Amino acid sequence: MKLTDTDRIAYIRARDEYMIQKIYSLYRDEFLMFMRKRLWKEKDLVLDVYQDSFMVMCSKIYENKLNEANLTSSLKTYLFGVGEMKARNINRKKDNLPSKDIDNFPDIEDDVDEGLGEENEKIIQEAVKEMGEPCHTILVKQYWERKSTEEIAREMLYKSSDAAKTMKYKCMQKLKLELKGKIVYQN
Amino acid sequence: MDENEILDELIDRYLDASMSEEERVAFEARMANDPELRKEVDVQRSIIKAVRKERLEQIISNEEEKIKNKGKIRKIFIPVGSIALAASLLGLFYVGYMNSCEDLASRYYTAYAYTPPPSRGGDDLPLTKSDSLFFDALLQYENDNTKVAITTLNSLLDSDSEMLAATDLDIKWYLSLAYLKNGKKRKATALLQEIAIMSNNEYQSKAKDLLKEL
Repeated sequence: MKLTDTDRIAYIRARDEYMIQKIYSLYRDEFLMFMRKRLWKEKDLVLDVYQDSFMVMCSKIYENKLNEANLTSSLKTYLFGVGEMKARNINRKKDNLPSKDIDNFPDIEDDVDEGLGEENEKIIQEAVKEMGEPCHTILVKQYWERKSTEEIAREMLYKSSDAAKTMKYKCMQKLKLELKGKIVYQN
Repeated sequence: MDENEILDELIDRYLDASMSEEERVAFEARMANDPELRKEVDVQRSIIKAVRKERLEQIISNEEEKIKNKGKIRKIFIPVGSIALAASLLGLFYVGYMNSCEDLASRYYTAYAYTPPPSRGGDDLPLTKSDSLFFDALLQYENDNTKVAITTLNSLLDSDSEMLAATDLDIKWYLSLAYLKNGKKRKATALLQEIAIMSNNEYQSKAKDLLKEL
């Protein structure tokens, strides 16, 4: 069965890990070839650019900023457009020129376009990676697998969904407390 | 459930877009007047993003591992398999002939460097279906699926559809290498002769050198 972009968006949105891997592979080789010339000064970065671009595309789908209704071109064109923008910024950096967020792709923004800024996002990513159990599993189940508190309680053997909810809250509080001294807010 | 726990859940519902329109408007108004709440929302959004990013990185890394392993298997089995088959069917002389053709093709093969045309100011990338087929043919060539590469390149030469990433000349050059890699010396020579007599083309000198070696 041939998949349409609508199917692909639905699989990514549903966190279907098997299909996400397939979609990742689908565009990979062509993207790498496409970017070789564009990133001739930094050829080693081509795979990193693909992986970053793929993650930006998925994030936009999760945030519902990219969906079937507002996808003006194909998913592949969107993905290549993100890569194109990233490659241009890498090349500008290399030439000591200021980076640009948007060029010919007005509907594509970078992944750090709102909120706390790139540095803070990295700090938070590190903190999430280093979280102990059961907190890490609870957050993955809630925010990645999108399980309800009832399901989390059943799978993690909590007495009730309220107990799972309280545990999740405590985990978030612990994480936020840890981040408090590390995050720099820019007003 | 204490007040903070309720707020945590409220932020989740806001970020998950599961609030009603009325609730969302009220919550955004509250955020506009409460910078601390705004920060809480930003941190919670970034935590959710970080959880997703971690999983995506894991998925990508698993897939890359698979791709890497596939490459290893191909490198080990294809030469052994093809040499054994060729030796049993056609004898060692043919193997030698094939190896020399393959060796020539691999010495002259360089990855295709695509030069994008000047931007048209539109919001779409200038790649057509035929361009994709061309890139796919090169990948097939690189992955030792030479027959598939030959079929695709031939169909592109016969087709009238628009291509922006490559010209007929590019196709002919790679087709000649594919023929050579596949041991079809005569077909490769015919194409190389065509390229060699066309003036001012980037493949002309390479085609001439290759013809001398054939």
